[in-house]
Amino acid sequence: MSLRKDGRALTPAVGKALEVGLVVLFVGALTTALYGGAVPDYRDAVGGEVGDRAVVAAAERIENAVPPRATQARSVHAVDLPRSIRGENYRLRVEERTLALEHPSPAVGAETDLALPERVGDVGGEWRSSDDAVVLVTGDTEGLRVELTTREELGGER
Amino acid sequence: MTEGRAQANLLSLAVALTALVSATALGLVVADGALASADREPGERRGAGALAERLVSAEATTVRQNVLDRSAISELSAADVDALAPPVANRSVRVRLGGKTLLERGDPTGGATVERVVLVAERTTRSRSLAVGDGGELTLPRRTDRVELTFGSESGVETVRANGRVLLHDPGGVTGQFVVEPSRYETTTLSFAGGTARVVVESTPLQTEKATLRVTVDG
Repeated sequence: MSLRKDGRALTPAVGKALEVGLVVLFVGALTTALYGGAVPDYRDAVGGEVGDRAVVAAAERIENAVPPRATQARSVHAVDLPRSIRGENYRLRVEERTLALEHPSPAVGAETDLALPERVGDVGGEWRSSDDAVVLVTGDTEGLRVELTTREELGGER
Repeated sequence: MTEGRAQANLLSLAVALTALVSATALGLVVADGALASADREPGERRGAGALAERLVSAEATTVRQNVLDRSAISELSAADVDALAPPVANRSVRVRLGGKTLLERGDPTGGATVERVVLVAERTTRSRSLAVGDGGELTLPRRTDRVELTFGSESGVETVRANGRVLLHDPGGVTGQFVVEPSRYETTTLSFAGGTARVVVESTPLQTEKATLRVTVDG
């Protein structure tokens, strides 16, 4: 028997090729299964929870920023917001005394009514998650005004 | 024999992949469980906190900060609660003061409970009628921020002082009814100078007692 006719030398090569093919198939199938089903579901669920908590924390911060009754009031409170939820930027906006989170993903979204004293007249403004968010409360004996704004717009004032 | 040996590797690979699949599946089950147990209602705790905070600071229900007005708080209605703290609207809520339930809407079985230690104040009226002479003094037994003085028409009193500060003065004699507001931070001693009079002193001290306010919000 000559060496050329002997097929034994091919055995390791074919065997390895089969193994590599099998592993590639396995990794492909697993990745498709995880990223096609489980992972986006988890990201939605976690994003929803983080959104709820972020809105609640921001609402409590806004409520705590309202100073006691005074003839002249001006207070600036920093608010810590998550930089991104589910990997994307979002907005927090106040409309008719309701703080709402606006997010590109439909799975993330929350809103809560603000519990503010009657002397608070006007509430407005919005934050983007990338902002250095602050609550500005200004007012006199006529009433208070609560505004969601950013540190930059206040000119770095503390 | 040669073929059998070549497939031995593939067989062990298949076993390894099967083990990996089961480990992944187990991991997914654990992750599902963790995610399910992380599903909480932050709105409940927020509603309870906001309502408790508003109850002890709103003017409608308090005498001053953290001092509840007993008559106002005992007439608390579900509509009042929603107006004070909009986050509790459409949720089951229970408000307890001391051991007494002031308000219950729905049936809050679980949910979040916020407790606050508060003072409950009740305004009482104490009236006394006395004859005062020149230099007569009267120390009010409880601190108050509102005293009503009624002098008879035959009054000869020219000056009324509270702790040395002049409250009322009339050289022709103080007559009629007056409301004065002494400091509630010190015991007030009224002194009368200038003559004799028949005077009715009505003070309205606050009587306070400690209590625990419990707000439960569910749903």
